[in-house]
Amino acid sequence: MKRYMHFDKALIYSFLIILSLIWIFPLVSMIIVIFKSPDEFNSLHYWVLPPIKNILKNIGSNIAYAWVKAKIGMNFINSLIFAFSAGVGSAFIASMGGYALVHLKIKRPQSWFFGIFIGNLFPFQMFLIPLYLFLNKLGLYDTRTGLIIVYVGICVPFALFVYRNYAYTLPGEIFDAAKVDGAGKWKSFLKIFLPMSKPAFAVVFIFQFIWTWNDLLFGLILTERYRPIMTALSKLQGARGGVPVTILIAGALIASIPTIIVLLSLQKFFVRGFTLTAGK
Amino acid sequence: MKKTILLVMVITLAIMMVFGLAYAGGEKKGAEKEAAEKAPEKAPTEIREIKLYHDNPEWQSFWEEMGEASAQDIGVRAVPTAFETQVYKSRIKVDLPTSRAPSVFKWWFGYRAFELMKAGLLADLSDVWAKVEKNYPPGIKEALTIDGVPYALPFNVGYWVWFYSKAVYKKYNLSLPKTWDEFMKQLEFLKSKGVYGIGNTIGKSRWTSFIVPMELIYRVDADFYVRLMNGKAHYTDPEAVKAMEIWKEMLEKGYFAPMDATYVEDLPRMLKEGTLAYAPFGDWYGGILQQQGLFPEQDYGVFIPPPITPRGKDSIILEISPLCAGKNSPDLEAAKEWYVWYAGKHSAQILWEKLRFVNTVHITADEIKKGDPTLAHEMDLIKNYPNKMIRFWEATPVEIVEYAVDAFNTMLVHPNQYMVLLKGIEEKAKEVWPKYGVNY
Amino acid sequence: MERRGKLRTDTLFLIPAMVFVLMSELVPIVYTTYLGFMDWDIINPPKWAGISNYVKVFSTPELINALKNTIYWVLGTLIFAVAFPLFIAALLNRVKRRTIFKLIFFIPSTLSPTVAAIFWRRTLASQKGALVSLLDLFGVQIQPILTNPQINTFVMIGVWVWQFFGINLILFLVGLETIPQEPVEAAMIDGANPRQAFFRIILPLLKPISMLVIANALINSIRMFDIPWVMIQGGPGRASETLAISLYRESFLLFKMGLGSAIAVVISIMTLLASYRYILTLGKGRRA
Repeated sequence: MKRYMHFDKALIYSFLIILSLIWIFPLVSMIIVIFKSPDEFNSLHYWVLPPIKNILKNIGSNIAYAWVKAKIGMNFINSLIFAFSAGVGSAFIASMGGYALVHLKIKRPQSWFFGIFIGNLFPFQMFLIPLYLFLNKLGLYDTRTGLIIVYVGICVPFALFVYRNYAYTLPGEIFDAAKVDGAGKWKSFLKIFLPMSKPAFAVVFIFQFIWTWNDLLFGLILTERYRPIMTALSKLQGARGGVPVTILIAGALIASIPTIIVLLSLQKFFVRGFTLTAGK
Repeated sequence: MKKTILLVMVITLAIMMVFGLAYAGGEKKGAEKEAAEKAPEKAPTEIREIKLYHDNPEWQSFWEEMGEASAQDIGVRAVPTAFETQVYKSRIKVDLPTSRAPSVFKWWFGYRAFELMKAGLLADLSDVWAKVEKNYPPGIKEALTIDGVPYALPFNVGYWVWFYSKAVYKKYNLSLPKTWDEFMKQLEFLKSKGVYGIGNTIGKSRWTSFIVPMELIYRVDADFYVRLMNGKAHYTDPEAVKAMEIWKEMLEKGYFAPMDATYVEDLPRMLKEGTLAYAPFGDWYGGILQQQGLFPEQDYGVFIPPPITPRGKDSIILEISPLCAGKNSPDLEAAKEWYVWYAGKHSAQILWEKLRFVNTVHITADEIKKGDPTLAHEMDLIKNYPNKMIRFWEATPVEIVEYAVDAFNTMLVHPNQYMVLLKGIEEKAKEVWPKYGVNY
Repeated sequence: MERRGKLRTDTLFLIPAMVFVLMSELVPIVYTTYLGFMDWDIINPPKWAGISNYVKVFSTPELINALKNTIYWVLGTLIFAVAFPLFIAALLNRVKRRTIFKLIFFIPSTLSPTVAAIFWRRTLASQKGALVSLLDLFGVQIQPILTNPQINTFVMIGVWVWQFFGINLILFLVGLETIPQEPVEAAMIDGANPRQAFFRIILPLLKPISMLVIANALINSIRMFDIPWVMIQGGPGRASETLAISLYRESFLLFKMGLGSAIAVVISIMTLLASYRYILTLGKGRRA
């Protein structure tokens, strides 16, 4: 029995390692690219490295050039503001909704949920022109406020989905007990539901931060002065010119680092939840 | 170990933010400073701002410099905003009928401007042209006029030429082909040596597929090409069929570089190292080649291939990128002043230095020769090709173009379907031309 | 009286969500549905078109091809980005050192489609591309991948799976990690084999997460746009076009906003029909 288990584990590990190698291949390929200067990239074989002393220098100059050429600075800040607001904002709004739908007395909660969620079923490209016209009517075009409202609004449905499903796994007895102790709805929400729903918050924040950070189209159409970071990447690669490959890839990597950091920091909060407790 | 990695990344993020904030403040000042260094002494008291829209994010810094220069010179700052091409057209179209209409925006000429003109959305720039006509070579104003109304100033006047690799020519001791047969034999020879003949790829953009068939069609019969563009000839006529058959043969014989190569990242390298011989494109491609590290006349040159039949001689394709003005724009008056500045010497200087564009008479032939000998050589060559025809993309109704581009894309992977594809384009043309009042 | 008051304050918790969604999603949806009955080229006023656009969605050959491609995307997603991650999550659950694997699989999910396209184009490029160069070291030559109309849809589905796999893997893993062991062990003692334990006990306990994953997968795959567009514009020609790309091309390339809107509405209805069960189902009964 023990021997069978060992063989089993070895097989699993090998399979996982092969799969990981495939998964990591494109990323490794890109790191190789930024190790080189544009000339080295053109002249050397793809998988041949330049002399070691050049590598650090190349990484530095590729990144610096990309940062300067794409003028990433302000876009970086904008994206941080938008992504953070969307993550926190949609999570908070959805936490209220999820709590209410499952642990409060709402008439026809399925309809409410459905009505809110249905927005997500629509292909987003069609939102561009109507939202553009709508924001203009409200005088919110080209403002950070307008864009934040749009981002939060688009993030709410999925966030509500997560919070609702999560709320379902919390036993109602906890809230009944609190009511007996005299706690009001809002207090129950703040003091019991929110602290207990950290895993849901982690999931929502990570997903919506990443989605908002990675947005291209809304940031392009709905603002001119507060453009997010993915629009900056287009300065590096256009039809009428572009930077060498090494710098383009460096720019793409810079643009991707914050989401990776968010992931690494928050992934340990995925601790419990999302399963039904047995016997219910 | 994991905590250290996390710490390193958070510190990196903090550094980026500091860098970003510091740099963001510095960017604007940088552009102003650069413009101020080049501007005359007088500084106007009040600066009016107009909006300039374009679809080349890679040229945003160029437009910022132009905007600052005009602010210093005449007190009108053009504030540029870039959009990616995918959303640019719709965004401009949504704005034009309203008071948000931009007063300066880059567009396309020919039929693509015609639809805007027909909807009454473009401003009449006759008064601007009256002031600046002498700054431009003859013929430009006429090309940018519809029904007697000039609607634009030129941003880029581009001829469609064939770039060729000096490395390939040197290595195989080649000379520019003087007849079409010579050209085809040369391509066959190059193929046998493992060199890609022609770079015409759809790696990052679908529209490039019309380049080669149109180059072939007008070399078969330039007059037929013009009639085809105007709906007076048919896609199934013998001239078009002959061109498609030649294209089919070239595709099947493998004269083309792989379809997924890109014009910006791959073809320049291939031209420089001698694995690709030719790349037909607009002459502004020279600027891209230089950006990617090639030197004019050293690494690349331009030539115009010989015609296929005598009816194709002395002809060349022309494209003009116009800067238009929206009629409903509230900034029209300020914009017109800007346009007059735009046709002037300072702006011509920036266009030449930053983008290697020459539209006006302000840049002398000597300057061109010094700055870009290939461009100078091309300007000489063009004199022998007096028959200038509009590029397909603008020369014929948009619905036909978009349909044909897809068909040509399909041709690239299924050359033997050329008759079916041609018939499809013909059907589309039959459907579209009546809407323009043409008896097809 | 008191009961009515309680219900109204309960609803207050839902108002913020409703307001935000109304502004940023419901207004555009109504507008687009209305546009579906019109012909509008943006620069001229809209004209009434009745249901002609909706009819075109089901009768044009290119759109039917797009529908076919969309179905490939949906199937590919369900198999490789939902079922497969579940399997891998089950494997990972039996392994101690799992963080490094979690990270390797999840990092692609953090990349934007723009960035993923930049990376994959360079990986799959036939000129100075990572894959081609690697194979070259072993003397193997291959045809250009991205412009090959037979396989490029599947290659791009691969890119999509590369990105989407990690998210679902993590979600399933979270679910599996927190399943209490007692019922499983009890079943095993009673003679159930691992497979039965998995399907009869573990899977039902995973419902809140798996419903989320499936609904999300269906929604995102039916409206697949970014990857085929950024990598090859749905080409060559229109070979790899999905319905969302058709929508985009009709609206933003050909300026037939009416037809584009009709396609959007059809996509949404398809998504609704495919996923409503997963959106609404949570398990037996509901919390009172």
